[in-house]
Amino acid sequence: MPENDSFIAGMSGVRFVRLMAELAGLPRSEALERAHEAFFYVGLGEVRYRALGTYSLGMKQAAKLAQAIAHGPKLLFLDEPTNGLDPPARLRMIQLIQEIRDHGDLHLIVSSHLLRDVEECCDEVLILKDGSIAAFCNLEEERRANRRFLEMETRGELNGNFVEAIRALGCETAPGAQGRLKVVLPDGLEIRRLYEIAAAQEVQIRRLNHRRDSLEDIFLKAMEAADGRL
Amino acid sequence: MAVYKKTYRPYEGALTARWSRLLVIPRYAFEDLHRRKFLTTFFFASFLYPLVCAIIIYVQHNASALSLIGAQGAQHLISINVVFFLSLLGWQSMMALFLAAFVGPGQVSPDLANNALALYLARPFSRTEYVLGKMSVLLILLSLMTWVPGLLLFGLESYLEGWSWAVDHARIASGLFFGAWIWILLLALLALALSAWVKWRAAAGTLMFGVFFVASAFGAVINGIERTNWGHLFNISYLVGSVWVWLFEGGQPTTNGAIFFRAPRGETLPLWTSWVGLAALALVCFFMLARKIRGAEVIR
Repeated sequence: MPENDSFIAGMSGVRFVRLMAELAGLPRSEALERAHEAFFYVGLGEVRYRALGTYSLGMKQAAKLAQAIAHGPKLLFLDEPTNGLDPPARLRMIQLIQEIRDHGDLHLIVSSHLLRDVEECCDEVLILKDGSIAAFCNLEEERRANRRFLEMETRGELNGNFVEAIRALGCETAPGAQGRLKVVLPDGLEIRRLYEIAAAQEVQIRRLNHRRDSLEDIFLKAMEAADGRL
Repeated sequence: MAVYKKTYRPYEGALTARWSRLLVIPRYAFEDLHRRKFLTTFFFASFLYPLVCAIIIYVQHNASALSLIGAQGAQHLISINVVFFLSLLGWQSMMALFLAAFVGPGQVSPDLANNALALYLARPFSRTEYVLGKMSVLLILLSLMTWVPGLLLFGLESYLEGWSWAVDHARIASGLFFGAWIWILLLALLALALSAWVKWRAAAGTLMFGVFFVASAFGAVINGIERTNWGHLFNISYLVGSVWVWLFEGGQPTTNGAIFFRAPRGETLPLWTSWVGLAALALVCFFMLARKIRGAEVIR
């Protein structure tokens, strides 16, 4: 599914998808059947006999997705699939992609600069910079790692005993100013234990957050030049 | 992914043979052409001349038919010879030019206008297969207009005259076949090349006539100013006509070409220059196609 417009203006939607399915190797009757199915699936069932040139931008995006899936490919490339879509259409497109990913026996490669879309659709992310791989990460692993990273704010000056006590549990700590503390939890340690130690040391935990290292942070880090500029 | 279920399902059925996918393009193109009534009418009207020729051949070999219309000596008026078949080929080839100008521009330009070519080539479908598929539309139509009726008429004449006539005039049959193929290949290449470069269908069709008529006028101007015959190299109908004469008659020509494809007497160029001129035109068309028929522009 290319980023730009790709269609034959004078051809009806279903005929165009059928043509593409036949070129991909489907027999005539199968191609016709699946072209209709694909159009209904992407939500264009009612307009499938209209010429593609008369479609709106969102409809053209959906028609492109229909031609891409009609022949049931094993590998699907989607280049900026939500390009130019309004929020409801974007949501619908993301849902379709997720459904195809979850139900189909296919591998999906999404190319997009909209990182939120990528986060919602992909398991693994490859960030390219100047044609080279700048970063590769598994989003689920990143999320899991983030869950172990805590940012904590305690009342008043940090009590040295409290820090020592949580270090004794295997945590890595980095004290900051004004009672702030960054903590990396070891595997198997529940947060509840931190509260118990804090209570025993008479330290008030006023705020405790998981680090939210989004794909955007990963992207910015990957794009960062050696001198720290983007 | 059934219509009523609206869910995605992968395809697990059989696939067609790779070579047969080439035929998908002409099938869709013929469906489109069939909807255009003018083209369908024009295509069938183009068989009027061969039909008249068939009647002439039949009547000439049927004395009772001639006496019925009171024209007993009429068989001497028209001879079924090289000129007869060259005229047929010339007339049909001109009709083929018109058909190619109507049909050709609609082949590639709609795919390029909105970048649909990328989708063709995203499938297991090569650029060569794409061009062959598109070209086959014109090759089939133009074949039906030129060498197919020509050889049928040759067969009819052979049947009525006797097979010894066919053996004696075998060069006419081969001339019809190869001469027509040279013309239709050239037309198909030119139509596709112009269609690939000019997205507006009407402009591409007009340009096809321009290539033939304006280029020949340009050649005539060169001939007039420079007092030479080399300007004929720009005249495609001259080049084709001189090749046809050689194909039909070999090195001892009795004619100077066919209707619309005639080389003026005393203004002949060496035959090899005609071949080179036609080959150069074909190469230019290939180059134009190769530049435009691409899935994506690669910038290095």
